[in-house]
Amino acid sequence: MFKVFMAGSVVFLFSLAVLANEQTESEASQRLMIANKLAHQVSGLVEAKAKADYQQKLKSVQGLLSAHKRITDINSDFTKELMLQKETEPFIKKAEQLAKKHLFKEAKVSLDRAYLATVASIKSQRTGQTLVRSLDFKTEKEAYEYELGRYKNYKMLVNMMINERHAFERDSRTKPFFDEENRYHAQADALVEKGQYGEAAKLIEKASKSLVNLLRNSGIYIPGA
Amino acid sequence: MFKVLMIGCLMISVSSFAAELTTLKNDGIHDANGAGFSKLQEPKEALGDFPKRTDGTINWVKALDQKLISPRSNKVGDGKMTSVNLDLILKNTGSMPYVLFSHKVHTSILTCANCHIDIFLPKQGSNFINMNNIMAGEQCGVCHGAVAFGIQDCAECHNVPSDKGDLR
Repeated sequence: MFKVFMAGSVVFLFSLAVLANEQTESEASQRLMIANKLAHQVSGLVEAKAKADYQQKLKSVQGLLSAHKRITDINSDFTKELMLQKETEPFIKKAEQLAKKHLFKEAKVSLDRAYLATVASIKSQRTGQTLVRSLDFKTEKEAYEYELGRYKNYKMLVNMMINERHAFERDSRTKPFFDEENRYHAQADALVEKGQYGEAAKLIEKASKSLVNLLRNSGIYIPGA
Repeated sequence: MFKVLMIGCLMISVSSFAAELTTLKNDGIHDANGAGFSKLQEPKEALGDFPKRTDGTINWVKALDQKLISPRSNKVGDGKMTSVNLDLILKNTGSMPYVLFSHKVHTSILTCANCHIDIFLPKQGSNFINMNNIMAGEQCGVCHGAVAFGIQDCAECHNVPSDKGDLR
């Protein structure tokens, strides 16, 4: 009964299409083409998203695996490193194979297993630890530029307090702080011209400290000594 | 999927206020004339009773403790959250106290992949964090100042006394 009804409907629709004028046919075919194009675009977007998610997860896994290797190197625990490699390699290989076939969603699922195993291993080795970290500057110039960034940040804060918040003014009270800051800054600039970035970094740090003292003296709470 | 979208919308709305929950209509993000606008939940309705910090922003850690939120490790929510108990003390803070970064607090709300490796490399000495970047919405500023507490209270992060007495 249902089949008969469906067949009847198809014949009816076909008849309607035949009866339709040329303009309607043209509009219909245009809409069909647009719909088809959109369907392809959506399908492409879904794959692009799955690919991006897969690549993102791959980056995380690779980063955490490198971190794991550094931890086991420091602890001289090569057994843990080998165990993790043995556990994660099949998942990563499988993910790569699936990604080659454009099966990114499935590839990410496989990577998730490797990711969880890596996180679990890092967790077991790091739990309860407190690590002290300093930045690893490659050159003295890099260290100077980092300090200069901090100085500019304080300078911006001081200017904001004066010009926007009107928290204090440039007057006889604040002048000694600005003078001190300018002196250190000028000395640092002179050293930079000679390429003595190490000493310049120390002076620019002192210039920053002058600004911190100015802020504190003006009633603004900045923690630290 | 809809829930994820809703959470996303709420997070955007949260990001648009400094101290108070604003309405979706006035957050400068949503189009009040949009077809689906009436279906969106107002931040005040969803987050009005959440614990707040002194600056008015939501205290997500307390919200978690009070079981008002239940973070997911992935979109479908079939994974398990993995909390890592590892503290880092960051020393390059100039004359300011050192920064204590608690992985435990952060991984109770986020997964490792939220930060590693796009925002922070899991490698010692390689993340050149500075306040300018944070204020520009990078590094810690991706969340802090957006959906988590901002930089107004230095001691929230700079809370470990440093040994730099020489610059006093």
